[in-house]
Amino acid sequence: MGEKVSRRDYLKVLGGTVGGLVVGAAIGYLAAPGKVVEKTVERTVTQTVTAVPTVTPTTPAKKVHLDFTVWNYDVEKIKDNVSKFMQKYPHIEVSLYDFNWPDFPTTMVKRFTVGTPTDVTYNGEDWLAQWASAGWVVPLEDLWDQYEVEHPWSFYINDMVPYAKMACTFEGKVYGLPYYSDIFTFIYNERMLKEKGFNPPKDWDEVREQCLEFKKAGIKYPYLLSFEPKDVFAWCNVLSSAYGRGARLFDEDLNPVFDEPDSPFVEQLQWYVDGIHVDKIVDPEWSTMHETIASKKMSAGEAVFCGLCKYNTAAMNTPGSGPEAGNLRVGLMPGKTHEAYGFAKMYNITKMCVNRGREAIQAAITFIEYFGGSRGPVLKRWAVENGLGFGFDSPWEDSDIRNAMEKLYGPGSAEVIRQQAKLAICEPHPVWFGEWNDYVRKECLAKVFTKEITPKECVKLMAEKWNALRKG
Amino acid sequence: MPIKIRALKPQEKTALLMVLPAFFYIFVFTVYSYSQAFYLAFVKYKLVEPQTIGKFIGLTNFIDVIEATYFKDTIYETFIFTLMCTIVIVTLGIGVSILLNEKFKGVGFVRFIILIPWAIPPTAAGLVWRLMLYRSGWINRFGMMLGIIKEPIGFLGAGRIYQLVYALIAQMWQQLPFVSILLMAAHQLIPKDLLDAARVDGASWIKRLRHVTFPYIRNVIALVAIWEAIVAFTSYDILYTFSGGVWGIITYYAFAEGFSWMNLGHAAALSVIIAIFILIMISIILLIIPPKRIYEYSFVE
Repeated sequence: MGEKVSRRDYLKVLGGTVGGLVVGAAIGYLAAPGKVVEKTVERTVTQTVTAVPTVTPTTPAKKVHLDFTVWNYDVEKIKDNVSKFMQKYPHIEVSLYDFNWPDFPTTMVKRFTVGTPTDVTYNGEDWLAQWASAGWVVPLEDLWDQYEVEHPWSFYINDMVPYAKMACTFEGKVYGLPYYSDIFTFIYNERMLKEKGFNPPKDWDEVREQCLEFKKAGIKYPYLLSFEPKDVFAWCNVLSSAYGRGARLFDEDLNPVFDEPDSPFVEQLQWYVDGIHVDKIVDPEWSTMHETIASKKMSAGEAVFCGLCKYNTAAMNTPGSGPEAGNLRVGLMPGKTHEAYGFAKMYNITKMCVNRGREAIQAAITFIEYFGGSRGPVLKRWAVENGLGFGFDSPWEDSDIRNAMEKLYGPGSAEVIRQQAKLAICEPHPVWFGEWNDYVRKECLAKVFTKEITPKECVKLMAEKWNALRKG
Repeated sequence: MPIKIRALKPQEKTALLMVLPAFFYIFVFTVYSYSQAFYLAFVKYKLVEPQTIGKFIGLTNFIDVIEATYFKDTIYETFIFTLMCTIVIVTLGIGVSILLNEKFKGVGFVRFIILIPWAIPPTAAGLVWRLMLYRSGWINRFGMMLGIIKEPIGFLGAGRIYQLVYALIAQMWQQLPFVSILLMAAHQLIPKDLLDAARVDGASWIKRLRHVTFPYIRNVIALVAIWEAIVAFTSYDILYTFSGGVWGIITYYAFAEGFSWMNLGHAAALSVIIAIFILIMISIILLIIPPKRIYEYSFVE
């Protein structure tokens, strides 16, 4: 070991190694056999799986290619679904591109702006207006019945629950079929309530009374408010609880009504402010309470109530997640109307796809029917395996889906969820909604909860911003 | 007068060749990007409205951002933050530099260790301080362990102005080392015999500081103060991570307009407004210390 290596020798060895690696890599690349089509874009794992060559009489000689963009929720399952689709329809070849969920809307806007090929895409009710008014996506209802499909458009549209239909609609036209629909629900600990002899609370006064009782019994903060101002779900939680009181944001002409003097929206904001600062029943960590933290706290029995998107209840009830796993239930949203906020993420066809002509549109419609149709295998798989919500009513008649929901959400949950889904609402999201919502979360609601402004001042600011954005 | 390349001496041609990369760099990253921002500030450029992109709209973008609901508050908060940062960081920097200039055992190690926060990226610094200020964070836990507080304090659930003060702590933690080292270097330029003479004449520590040290370092203090004001005014990353991406000063809104609301016209207008403020600050530097004096000062023996 004592032998010294000169700098020249060292560089010779290093140069030789690097050179060897480069030559080796080049030879390896050139000698590699033909591969399955594979595309990688940005941070995206993309694949096209070779189709199993089954012969069908309608298969055209040339494959139709589709570019499909999604966000990165359970990408492996999406890939598997794509693979199965291509086995069933060997004349359609699909390339999948997945993007990070928080960056998805901006990534897609850039993609559309520069014209990166995209045929079918996930979309959300909060971006639909922007994408539709920009002409990037087209109404599915205008195309559907002109093409070969398993079920006509009316079959799906009549089966869609109202909130999901509303979420997929822009300027009176339905743009897509839901990939996933869910509701922001009221969640409670059934065991704790039974121990105290309480029924699930019917209104927010009752929630307060029960919270005060639990506080006396030693639970420091019985209610969890998940309001990380950066997260759009924070807004959904607050809105959903106000909907329970019968609140509305706008009238039919999109004029704000949340700022009216006796607005249920203001009442609900006041409930939270009092809960945080007066009764001290709401966890003061609301600003850092991501839904995963709230779920853990609920499973651990640190709180009794919370408002979160429904799917979190399944996570809370997963065995091993905490001592209260299996005891958490979805209840109807407290309040006069028990309404809640429902949303839908959907499959859209892009204008780029339409510009490619009939073959591409037919392939995209076949794809969407397979993935988003209420009788399609993908909807059922998401519901049974992941407990994801769906935007149709008929899947509730499927015993596999019902059983899976009962298992994931607890005995008796299927009926409550179905009932809540029927009561859920989704108000229109105009083009400027995203900007308004961003402002509302960060500059209005966050300041109400810190008591920098009052709920009435808050809704005044919200209305001012709304009207300013409307004027353009 | 245009330069005639052929008439240049060989050394001059070499010199010209040497500055070409720098010229190219400045052209691409400064001249071109600034011109592009300036252009965008006068046209409609909302990505989600592709039909109207590129339409000349005069000063509309400027009027829009000035009339925006956030503008008044954010300008106020930006100036408050800038002022607080400059005063606190420079004052503490002077104190630390005096301390570092003293001779004591381990001074070399202290000078080294004090630089560490400066080497930490602002993004990480903001995040670290945010995590420390959580109710379950280190500061609350330590406070409760020592019995200083009974209940965890909700630092991050406090009002915006309080959070701005907490953010100042993160900014100070990150910037103080650089300021201290700069001022310490300025201290070392003070002729030792002058300080010795003052000491022999019976001048107290305070008098030496006031009549000998301060006149020597005041230009550097002014320079550092303006520098810190610019750093605070354009601060984005440290505040973004500290606030969990929820609020910031004017730079945050330039980002939000461009990348959250996808209105590049508004973002460019805000950037031009920020650039105007920065130009004013730079002009103040040049008024206090003219370039000639800075040049001379650099060669003080």
